[in-house]
Amino acid sequence: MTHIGQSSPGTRLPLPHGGGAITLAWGAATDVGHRRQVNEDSFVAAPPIFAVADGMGGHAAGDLASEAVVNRLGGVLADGFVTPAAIGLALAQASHDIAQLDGTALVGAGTTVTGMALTLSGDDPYFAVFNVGDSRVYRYLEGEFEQVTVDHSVVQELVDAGAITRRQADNHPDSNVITRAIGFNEPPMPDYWMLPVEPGLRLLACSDGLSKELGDEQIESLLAAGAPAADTASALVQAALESGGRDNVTVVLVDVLAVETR
Amino acid sequence: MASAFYSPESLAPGEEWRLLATDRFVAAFGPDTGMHTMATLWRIAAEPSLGLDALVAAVPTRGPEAVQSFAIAAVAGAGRSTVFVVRGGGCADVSVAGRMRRVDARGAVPWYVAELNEVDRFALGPLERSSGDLRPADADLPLDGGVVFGPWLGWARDVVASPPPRPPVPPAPVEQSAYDTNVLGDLGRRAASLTRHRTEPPATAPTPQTATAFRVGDRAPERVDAPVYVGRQPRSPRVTGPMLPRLVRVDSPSREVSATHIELRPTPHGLVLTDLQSTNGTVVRQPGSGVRRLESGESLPVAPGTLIDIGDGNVIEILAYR
Repeated sequence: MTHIGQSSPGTRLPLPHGGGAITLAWGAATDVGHRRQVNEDSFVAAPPIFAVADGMGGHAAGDLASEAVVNRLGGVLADGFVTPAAIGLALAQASHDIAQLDGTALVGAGTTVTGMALTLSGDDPYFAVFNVGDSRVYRYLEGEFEQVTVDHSVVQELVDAGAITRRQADNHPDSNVITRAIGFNEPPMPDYWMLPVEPGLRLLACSDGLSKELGDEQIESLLAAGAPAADTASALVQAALESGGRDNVTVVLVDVLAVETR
Repeated sequence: MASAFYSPESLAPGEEWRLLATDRFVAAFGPDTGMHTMATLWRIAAEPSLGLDALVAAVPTRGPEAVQSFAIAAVAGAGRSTVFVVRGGGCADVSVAGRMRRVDARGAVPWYVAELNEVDRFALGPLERSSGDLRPADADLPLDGGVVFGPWLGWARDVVASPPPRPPVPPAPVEQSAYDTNVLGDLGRRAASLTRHRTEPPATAPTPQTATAFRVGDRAPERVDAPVYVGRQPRSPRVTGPMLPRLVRVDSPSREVSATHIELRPTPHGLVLTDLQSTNGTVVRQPGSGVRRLESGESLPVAPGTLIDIGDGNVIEILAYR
């Protein structure tokens, strides 16, 4: 477990070119869970990047892989906003770091990564949501709840192909087999979604230790309860532990408190 | 016209850098780079669906084929940032809004990344080279695309391919001159703000031009090099690959405009407009074919001069980039 950044109850981030400002709050929480010895999840929660990585591999390999990703993402230099190219390059650098681990003592290290980065299109602020693997980003705004990312997993491919239903997917024996990762000597292939930064928006990034323990309804009700970001993050992790806690569980939650335009 | 140029000098084999140029990438790889590696890098650089991250990830940094030094630049249109990735003894000398600076790796492993705005010229090559003034000399040759050997590779936003300009031309005022404002009609009251762009009708029939740019109301024109989503509060669908969409927000006090109302997608034959199942529809006026309303979800190729009305006075004009 490597974590970068502290929770914030409210931080004002000016937009470039005197274009106003946005105010964000964010919180993060993690737990090793009831069954695992080591927490192989890592997170970064520091503007402009908020992300969760779920490491995989024997011995300490998964921990080192998720650490490599959050270190590279946390090292992205930016004056408040990044370009998606910078995210892609940070992930490529992390792949290189993980390959170096691989070359020494460890065989088969890799990690998922998902999260959101502040970016601009023209002068307007957006979240570039990115994903590799089966960690997830959820979006909540004014009573609307949705999963933004699409898992890179065998089960998701079976659902897409119509072979199984969404409900069957939850208990499928291949539910932990992913089709893309950072590491394992593969080039990173992130998917991206661009979401406008809107007042009241809550974005939740989490490892599958949360989404496999809690159903959509439970996640939605905790987001809808409207507690501050740091409290909500802790409550989500606590709920996952109470419903089994079979895996490491990590969440990073970002709230858009205000958007001031020119 | 932006383009790359280099100095065709004869060098000892150990001093020849491998210089690569496409319309998106300009790169210099150190003399230890094998030809097999260069062939791979060229294929990746020339593949439109692959981005800078794929190109950089394909450079071997370990083993017998390892490339110890390189400098790669991902060039973008005017107003966008240029990304430089440098490793080992490779560096980029960059003119940023007329001021010179050097981007070098300083031991960063596996490479160092810098992202700079307002780049008008740069040169890629070994650290040992003096930066010079980054302008092409008379003996330099243009490199529109391909791989050559040489001491360094230059790039300028405003190089005329051949012959080299003397003196070099100042940066072109892009907003005023690089677009055709070929407005053939208007949409009545709502397009009133566009009438100042109206030009005299051409004496002969206009030659067909490919639509490659757009302008919203009286904002600056923009070239389309990735899908564009226009709406009151636009968002993009899932995107895999290097070209992230452009999102354009418009004001709609009465909420006539949907959150994500239309898509403009670039194709080799021009732009394709799609109504993204908007609530109030999209009205299109194409030159010579009158006004029509797009069905919800309908697509339509659009030519320069087309006006697209998405509601609340928001009119998008399709342009040709000259």
